[in-house]
Parts: sequence; C-alpha cells; structure tokens
Amino acid sequence: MTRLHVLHVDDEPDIREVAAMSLDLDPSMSLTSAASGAEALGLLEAGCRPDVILLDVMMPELDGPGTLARLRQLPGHEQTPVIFMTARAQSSELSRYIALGAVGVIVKPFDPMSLAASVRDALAGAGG
Amino acid sequence: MTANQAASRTRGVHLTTRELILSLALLTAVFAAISYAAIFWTSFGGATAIWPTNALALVAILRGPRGWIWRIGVLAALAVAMVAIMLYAGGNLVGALLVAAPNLLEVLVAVLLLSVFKLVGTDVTRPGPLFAFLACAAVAAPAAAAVAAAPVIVYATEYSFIEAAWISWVTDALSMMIIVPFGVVMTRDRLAALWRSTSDALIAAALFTAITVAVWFLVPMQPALIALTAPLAVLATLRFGAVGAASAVLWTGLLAIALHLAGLGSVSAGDVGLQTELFHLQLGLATLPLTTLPIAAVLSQLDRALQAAATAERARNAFESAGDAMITLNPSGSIESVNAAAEQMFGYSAEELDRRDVSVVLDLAEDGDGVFMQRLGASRRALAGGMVREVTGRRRDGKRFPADVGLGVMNLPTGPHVVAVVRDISARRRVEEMKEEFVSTVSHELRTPLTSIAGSLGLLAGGAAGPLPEKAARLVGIAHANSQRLVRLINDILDIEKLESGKLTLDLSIVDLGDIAARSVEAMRGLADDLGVEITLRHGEPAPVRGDPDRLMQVVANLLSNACKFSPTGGEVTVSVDPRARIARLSVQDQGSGIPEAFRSRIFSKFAQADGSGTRAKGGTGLGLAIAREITERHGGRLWFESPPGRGATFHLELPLSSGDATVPQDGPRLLICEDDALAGEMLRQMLEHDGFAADVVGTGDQTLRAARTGWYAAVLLDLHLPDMDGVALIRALREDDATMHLPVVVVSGNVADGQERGGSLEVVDWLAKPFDQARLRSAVTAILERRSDRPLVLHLDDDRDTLEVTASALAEIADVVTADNLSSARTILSDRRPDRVILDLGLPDGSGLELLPDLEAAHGSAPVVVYSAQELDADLANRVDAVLVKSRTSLTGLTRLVRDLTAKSGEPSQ
Repeated sequence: MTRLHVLHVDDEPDIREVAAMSLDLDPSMSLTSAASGAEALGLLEAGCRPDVILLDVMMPELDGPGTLARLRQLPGHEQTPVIFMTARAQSSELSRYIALGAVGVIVKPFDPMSLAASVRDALAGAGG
Repeated sequence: MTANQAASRTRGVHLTTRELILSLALLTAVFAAISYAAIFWTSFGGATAIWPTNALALVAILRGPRGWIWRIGVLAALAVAMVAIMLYAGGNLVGALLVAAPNLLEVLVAVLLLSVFKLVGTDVTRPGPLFAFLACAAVAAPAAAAVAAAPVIVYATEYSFIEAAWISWVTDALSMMIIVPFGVVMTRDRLAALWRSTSDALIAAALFTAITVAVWFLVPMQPALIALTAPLAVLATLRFGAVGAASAVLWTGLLAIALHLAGLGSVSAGDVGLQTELFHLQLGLATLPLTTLPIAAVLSQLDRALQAAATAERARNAFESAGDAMITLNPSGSIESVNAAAEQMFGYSAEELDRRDVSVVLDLAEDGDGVFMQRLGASRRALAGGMVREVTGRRRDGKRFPADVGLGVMNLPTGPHVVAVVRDISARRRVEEMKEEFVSTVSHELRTPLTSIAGSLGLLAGGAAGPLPEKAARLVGIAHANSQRLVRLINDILDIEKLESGKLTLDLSIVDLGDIAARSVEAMRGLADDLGVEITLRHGEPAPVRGDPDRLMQVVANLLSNACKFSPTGGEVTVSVDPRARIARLSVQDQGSGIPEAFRSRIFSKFAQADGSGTRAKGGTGLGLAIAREITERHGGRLWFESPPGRGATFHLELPLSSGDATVPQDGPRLLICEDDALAGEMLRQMLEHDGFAADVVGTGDQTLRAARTGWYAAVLLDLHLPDMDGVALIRALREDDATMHLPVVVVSGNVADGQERGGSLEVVDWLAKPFDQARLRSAVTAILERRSDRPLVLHLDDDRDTLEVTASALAEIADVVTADNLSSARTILSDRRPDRVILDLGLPDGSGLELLPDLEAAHGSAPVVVYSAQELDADLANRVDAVLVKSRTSLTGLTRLVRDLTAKSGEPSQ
C-alpha cells in the first residue's frame, strides 16, 4: 500500500485525537493535524505537502468550504484531493460539497476502525 | 384604478333623480299627446269592438304548449267564438265568416312573425325584446289583418278603402297592445310575489283604489280627463314594474267598461253611440301601455343593474376590507384594480398599477402579449376551482419577497375577472428556515460529541488501545452499541422531521423493485450473518416502479433488519418480489414468533416497540416502521403485515407497477443508459434531458438486460466497460433475446476503435467516442428515434418526376417514401434499405420495372409490389405482383389509397 500523508483539519481536539488514533491503525498513513482552517493554510504555505486533506465543514471563522477555496489559490495545491467531514448529513448538502470540488465526504460520526479505508476509497473513487 | 372607480362605472347604468323626473315628464307628455290626438279624432265610427278575442287567442298560443296542434285548436276556438258573437249580434253566417277571417289571419301572422324572429317565450320586460314583440304582434300583424278586412268594411259601410284599413288597424293594434303584454308577462309567480309582501299589497290596493275613484269621478266628465289616470298607472309601473303596468291597464279598462255599462258616464264628448264610445275607451286604454310598459321595461333593467351593483358592492367591500392583498386582472393579465392591502404590500398606489402588467409586482406568469391564462399555464376550469402558487413578489423599492398567490375567478359587473390573493410568506419562510437551521444545528451539535464518544469507544472495542479485560470489554461493547443507537436515533428523527414537514424530496426514477431488494439484501448481509440468519431472495420478472431508489432501499432494509432481528438463530428470512396486475409486491417473511396481538395496532406508530424481550435489546429506534410507511405512502404505495399465529410475520410492500405506456409518462421515448460510473451516467442523462429526452441510468449489464426487457425503452446507450460483463457480450445478449432483438444500441465508450473491432459484426446503430459533444449526442439519438418509428418505407420507381413527387406527398402522412427514376438507382437503394412496399413503373429508361422483382425477392422476400404503369400486364406477370394499376384508368388517388390499404393491413405484409 502506498504511503499516504494526511492533513486533518478540525476545530474539535477530541475528534482530532480520535481521528489520529483511527488513522494510526493504518501503518502506511502519516498524519498532520490542524485546529483551524487558518492553521492548515499556514502549514501548506510553510511547505507541508499532504496527499489528501480531511477538512471539517463546520469550523469557526474560516469554515471548510472557505478553507478549500483559499487552499486552491496556493501554488501546488490546485489539485490536492480534499475530503470533507461533516455532521450535517443531508443529501442535498453532500452533493453540494462534491460540487465544490471535494473528492468525497465522510459523515460524522465515522467508524474509527474503517476511517483509513474510507479515505482510501474516496481517493480511489476520484481516480487519484 | 381602484375598485371604487370600477364600481362607480357600473353605477352609470342607474338613473339619477333628475334623469328619472325628466323621463317621467317626457313619458307623461307623450301619453297626453297620444290620448288627446286619439280622443279628439272622432271621425271614426262603426268598427265593431271585439278587441279582446284576438289578443286573448294570441296570449293562449304564446303561453300554451309549443306545437301546431295547440295553435290550430286555439285558432279554431277563436273562429267559433267570433262567428258566434257576430251571429248573436244579428249578422248572417257569410258576414260573420268574412269578419272572423281577418282576425284569424291577424293571430296567425302574429304567431308566425314571433316564431320567425324567435320572440316566443322571450322576456318582454326588457326593452329590446318588448319593442320587437310589439312590432310583430301589435303593429305588423294587425296591419296584415286590416288590409284583409278593409274590403268587407268598404262593402258594408261608406268608408273608403284607406279609411277602412286605417280604422281596422288602429282598433286591432290597440287591443293587441293592451292585452298581449299583460297576458304574457303575468305569471303565477309574479302574482304571488306581488301579494306575498304586505306593504306591496297595500300600496297596490291604494293605487288601484285611487284609479277606481279617479275613473268614477272623471268618466262622466270630459273624456280627455281620463288622461289624468295615467300618472297613477305610471306610479304603479314604477313600483311594480311590468306587472304593475299591466295590472293598472286592465283594472282601469274593466272599471271603465263596467261603469260605462252601468250608465255612470261617457268616455266620449256628446252622444256618439255605443260603438264609438267603446272605440274611444279602447283608444284611451291603449295609450296607457304605450307609456307604462316602456317605463316598466326600463325599471326591470334598472332592477337588474341595482342587484348587480349590490352584489358588486358587497364584493367590493369584501375586496377593499380584506386583510390580504388582492388584485383583479383582466384577461390579458394587466391589473384592473388593487385593494388597500395590496397598495401597502407592494408600495405602489392603485393609480400607478392601473393597466400595468401583473409581472410588475408578481412573477406569476411570463411577461408578454399572450392571453394571461396561457402565460399562466392554467385552464379556466382549474382557475375556477381555485389554485395556489408560490411566486416571488416585487415591491416598489425593488425588494423581493416570497408570496403565496391564490388565484380564482370573481364575477364583477364588468364580467369575470381573475383575482389574485397575495400573501407575503416571508415570515413563514423565515420560521421554516429557522426550524431547518435549528434541526440541522442540533443534529450537528449532537453528532460532534458523539463522533468523539463513538470514535473512542469504537477504537477501544476494536482493540486499538490493546486488549481489554473481559468485563471492561463487555462494558465498552454496551457503550459502543448504544452510541451507535443514538446516532441512528438522530438520523431517524431527522427523517421523521423531514417527512412530516413535507421536506423530503424523492428523487424519482424507474427502478426495478427486484434490484432494490437485491441491493438491500446485500446491505443487510452483514447483520444477518452476525445474527445467524439466512436471507433468501426470490424474484423473477422485472418489477419496474417509479421511486427514489435510496429511500426504497431504506424501507426494504428496515423490513429486512426487523425480520433478521426477530428471527431465531438459524432461521430464514425470505424476500420475494412479484409484479402483479398493476402493482409490484415485495414481501419479507420471517420465522420469528410473529407480532403480538396487542402490538399490532401500534406497530407503525412513532417510538412504538414491542415490550419485554423485544426490540430494545436489539437496538431499534422505534421509528423505522413509521418512516418506512411514510416513505411508502409518499410513493403511492402501501405497507402492511400479516402475522398468522405461529408462522412468523410477513411484511408486504406494494407499489404501483410501472409498465408500458401507462408509466412511461407523457415524456415520449425513453432511453436506457448503461454506465458503471454513476457520475458519467448522470452527466449523460442530464445532457439527454437538456435535449428533451427522458432517460434512466443503470450500472450493470444484468440491470441493463432486465430493464431493456420491460420494452419501454426506445434505445440503449451503453459503455463497453462494465463491472459485471463485457459490453460486447451484453450487446450479444440483447440480440439473442426476442424482446430486445431490435432494440437500437448506441455504444458510448472511451475506446470506440477497440469496440468496433470486437463488436463490428453486431448490430450497433452508432458509436460515440468519449468525450463527445452535445450536438453529436443529439444527432445520434434523434437518428435512432426516427429509425425506430414504425412507419413503413415505400420504394417508388417511376421515370416521371411529377408522378413521384405527387405520390410521395400523398403518402407522406403514412409512410416514408424513397424514390428512384431508373433501375440502377433503385438497386442502389435496395443495397442498404429494405422497403416494406414497392411501387413499380414498367417503362424505364434502363429497362422494365419488373426486372427489379428478383432483387426485391433477394433483399426482402415479402414486400408487396404494386405495378403502376401505362402498359397492361399479361396474366402471368400480373401474378408475380400484388396489384396492377393502369395509369390511364387509375388516378393517383387510387394508387395512394391502395398503398394505404396495404399499409393498413401491414405489420406483416400479406398477399
């Protein structure tokens, strides 16, 4: 399995930790966490080059879609795959997130034992 | 303009007090003039006053049954009465008959004229019909009778012909005027209505008493003074309309006759003899209806206008005082009037909106010149029943707001108008949005901590933190299961909320219920395995239904999960799908203990769970069946159960079967898209939809085969790359099945060259290489649909271009026609097309048309052949074709009729 560097952005520290432990179950994944959209953008500008970004939708100040729009402006990140994570699991919203350019949506609460597999599935589905 | 102005325009129909006084004065003057003229004209004498008989006969005919038997009977009775009167008065039979004949003629002419001008049964209380009626019955008919009677009078008296005719006409015309309108107008209802109201009866009695007294005192005096009774008659007319006028005339006349016969006075000045007296009386009376009946007619009209105005006034009051904004529109959709609430809502004054198109304030219909109903897209009948639309309103300051518009038809004095009742629903919208926002937020707020809880417990239970002691593992297991249950509960509550608020939108398409069942069974396999339950799926024929596949799967999955949970370990759950007459039924049967009697009535209620050892332990939310039933009913189906004692429970889901034309609704030919990439499939579907073609998307070869067999797809668009079978194999399978043998196939593929190499021998209509543009797709699909049409193809071979052209246009309605003017071009056509009918000319530049017969047999053995030629055919040759028509003997019409007949019998070429 290819090594995968994941950047996880979520304002909830507990969820960051659960997600970190979940992804840790897959030894080929490495993880960087960010507590806000701004922090994530800072990391990317500083040269962090994740293979996929897990982006929480509902965050104070800069939300997920906002972060996505900003990071697309960054050189080298025009194509970086983004997977939204959301607790608002209404189907109309899901399709809206896809329309924004995400390769997938993972609905919270997620199954921690298969989070890594979900990420890989979303990437595979996008042909990435 | 406001409703106020609209109403005042209708008031124009009313007479003002001044107008009323003026018209009364004028009428009285006319009355007086006619009276004096008639009464001072005393040179007449000798005309027998038998005036009421004709008029009574005419009334009897007009009010009696329709039909000539009654009419002839009345005329006969009239003749007998007249002859009897004349004989009684001392005349001889010949004289009596000579007098009766013109009178019969008069009635007959009156009836004829009234029939011809369709005035029988007309409402003579309206001015137009009244004057037409009088023109026929009281002017024209007596004129005819007078001309006929004049010779008799000339013979019996010393009058000249003109004088005789004039006297005869005046007496008859006047009698008709007096009697007939009254006789026609007076009905039992009107009499009853007159006496029903005490005040009316009192006024009537007072009036008639006044007339009586007036006549009593006036009759002995100068006859001209009888004119003074006229204003009383006018008053009676004003008060009681036509009924009052007619009553006054009759009452006055009868009294005058009675008083006169009693020797109480004369209507004429000096001693002029009985006949002249009666004649003068007749003249006096005749002037009364001349004045009063027009007044009565105007009054009746006025009455109607007053009633209409009262109705309009009520409507206007309701309109003006309504709390909702109201707009009346004329048929072209421009604004006629708005009420105060509408002025306030839109910020325009009524004057500013007058005659503007409604689109200024409401997005009700497209702006344009068309008829409003059409722009609205609603029929008059739909509108009469009332309809509500949700549209956007525009205020004067340009601000938009959501509005509910109730449309209906309102009858105003100026005719029926479309009325729009506008309600600003911004507040309701805000509340709805807040509620949605609230539910969405709450679900988010609940899910966020649940994500941490369920995540942590999941990691613990999954051993991510290392092995747990047995007790701890059990406790973590309980906590984990319940956190999962909480998640399901939140999801279910959101579903219920959406269902109940009507927010659940179904994404409808044609789906096979068997396919839904199969996918649901797959999804539930894990749960079934955990519980040690076997799920068996039985389905045969495709069961196409119109539904939202995700929601239907939710229903079936819920039924399956219940069945599994209630099954004993090692039990079997059977799912069967049967298309029936008009419904598709899916049944889920388990081998559990069945549904307890006490629980049956509550099973579909919210938070309903069987007690005791039941579901709670199994982690249900108690909402699943309530949701399932709601979703089912939203699909127009029903969900119910059977639970015979000791035989488990069976849940049935029934949905309307979508089959044939009945379910491929109105949208014309439907296409089937087979594409394993859902996104690509959806994109293709949208492109087709954009071009006006309906399509359904399936993802596997198996689904394609089953959907294609339903027979309601015009063509299949398929990708060669499929998950479950090779595209070429799929086409081969389609071709081998009788039901899909001729189904046009368009291959849409990223690698067309490869497909053409492997599937070149297969009958594929078109190959579209990805990526393709909209125009290419449209032309491919249009070509298929044209090809699919079952119009027969006619090959017409003739060297005369005119014949070809005329025949082609004559057949254009029923067939596609290809033409050739020589044998070799006909052969070229046959090389790639197979005509269903052939018309041959014999003498062609490059040979005889018959030389084509072997080619036809080779290409298409059984196409009927018609020879249409100037030459005769010998019997042998004629037997080789289906019909022979000779140009000189058969017109082109005959030819086209024959081809039509052959086509009508078609399907299978006969003969």
